[in-house]
Amino acid sequence: MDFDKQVEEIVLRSQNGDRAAFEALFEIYQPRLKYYVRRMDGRGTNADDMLQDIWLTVFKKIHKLKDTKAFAVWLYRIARNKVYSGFKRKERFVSLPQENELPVSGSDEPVFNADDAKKLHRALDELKPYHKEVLTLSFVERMSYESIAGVTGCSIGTVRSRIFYAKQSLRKEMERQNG
Amino acid sequence: MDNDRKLSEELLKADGIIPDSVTEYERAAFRKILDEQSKSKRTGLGASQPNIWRIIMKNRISKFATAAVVLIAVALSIVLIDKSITPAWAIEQTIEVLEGMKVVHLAGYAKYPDRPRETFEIWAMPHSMDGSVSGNFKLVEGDNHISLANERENITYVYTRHPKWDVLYITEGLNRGCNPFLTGDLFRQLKEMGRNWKERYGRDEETGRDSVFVTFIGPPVNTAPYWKLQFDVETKLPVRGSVWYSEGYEGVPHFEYTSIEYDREIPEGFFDFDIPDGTQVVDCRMLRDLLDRDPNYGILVGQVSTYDACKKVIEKYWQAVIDRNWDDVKKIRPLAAGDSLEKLQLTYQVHEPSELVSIQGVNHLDDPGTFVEATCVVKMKDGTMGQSVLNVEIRQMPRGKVGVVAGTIGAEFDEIY
Repeated sequence: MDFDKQVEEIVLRSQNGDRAAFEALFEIYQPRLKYYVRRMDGRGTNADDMLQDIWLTVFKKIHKLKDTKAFAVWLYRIARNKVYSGFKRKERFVSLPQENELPVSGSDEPVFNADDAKKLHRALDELKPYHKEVLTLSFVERMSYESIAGVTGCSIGTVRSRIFYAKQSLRKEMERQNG
Repeated sequence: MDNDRKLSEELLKADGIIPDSVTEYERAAFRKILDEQSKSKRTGLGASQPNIWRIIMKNRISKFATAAVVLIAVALSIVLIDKSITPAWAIEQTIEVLEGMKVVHLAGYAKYPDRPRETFEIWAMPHSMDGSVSGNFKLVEGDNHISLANERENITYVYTRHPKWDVLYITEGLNRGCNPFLTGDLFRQLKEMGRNWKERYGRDEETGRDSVFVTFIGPPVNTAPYWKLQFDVETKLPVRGSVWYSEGYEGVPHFEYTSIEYDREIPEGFFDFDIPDGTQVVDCRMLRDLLDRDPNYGILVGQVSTYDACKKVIEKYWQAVIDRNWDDVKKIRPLAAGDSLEKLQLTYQVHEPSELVSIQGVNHLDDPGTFVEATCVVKMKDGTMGQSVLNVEIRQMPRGKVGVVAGTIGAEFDEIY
């Protein structure tokens, strides 16, 4: 059984009140969810509380999830709402994409590999929140553009162009850090 | 292992997170959550948690409810400064008591002529820098509206649950409140207000405590000017109140305060806003910042009322859409750019407007906590009709009064018929 099918089955069991299944979901998603929350909650000091709050919401509402295949998107939407609710600094709300979000070819899109990870991790924190967000979902959760669109509430075209520009910004930031 | 997966794992490691593993601390914390939730489900205690978000709301009485808070204070001052009642009512004592209060909580019912009676609750704290106005403030109406002003964030949230969608407006500043707050200064300032007041001593029907019941004609809440207030003689604090349309206090009061409490304990984070899932978030600051950065957006509307200004903006907008004048569309609707403009063009290609038939139900006029919501009925070229709820912003700028369309509530056309 592939991973997606496994998760779907676990979600269904969780919806039926299976505690072990719910714990399994936690084990699967917590590490990457933690990375996402830490990146989005720049100060990081609220991350643990926020994560507990997210899982509490998941526990309370999982029975309402209709599309069990979309658990990850649903989970990250809950996380995103919690993070945004918890933002204390106004610039996090007002950050508007500055790029023209037109479809892009992707032909000159920077590519990153595992060797870049440490530098990439440091550079991510310097990006604008909406760039950081799509890259985190793409790199860490390995979400499709469609899923990222589901999490962020943007169109797929916007996600595609946002990732394109985010990668360019990331490459520039990494080069800047390298001097 | 493929590169994407390895990259994912290396990123986690760079942040000190072990991939595919949780710490014992996290696991224990998570299990505790499960235990507590399971326990509360069994005992039913979960339902009694302060899930106030689900308590109320269907209308836009925020401002009126707030006004009612003020008016209670007004009426209170009138009673307290009447030395003929009893020396125990000396205003200085009351002022002293109220100025020590840090939280006021009001609960009761609101009744509008065309709507069922609804519950409401208000929590308010004085502003830390200026105690004459409120800082943190929360109003929960029925089961479909919350207004919340957070002093620390300097942000106001206005959340409304509509039949088709849930909308949250976020604005900068404290745009909801209990102003002026219940201070001694307020009573001093307002001692001249109100007329034909009468006091009657008696006992509270529930607690049996000595009370004074006051009626008077005061500043109207909407069009309801007839007040009834009840004060506790010993504490000198108001404990109940109501405001009526009818001079004879007949029928159902417009507002009824069944509980007025001071210094009720407020849990940590009580004035933070938790965005409900699936909510359409309208961050008004984005558009307002954009207008500040580029004052050329929008159209000049002249010195007319907000309603007329909105009408002008809406008419110009739909004309630009009908004419397919996308430059004008972008000027009037600045957030429609790039990808979103293409999406908009596609929508107007599928449902091609030919005429703005009417503007119905313009709400939130002159409300700094939201944008205006205007329901537009538009006729399409194929003869169908569409309904679109436009968000409109009218701002006074250096070059004059400017109007823009911020977007739509719900889909571009939330109904086609």
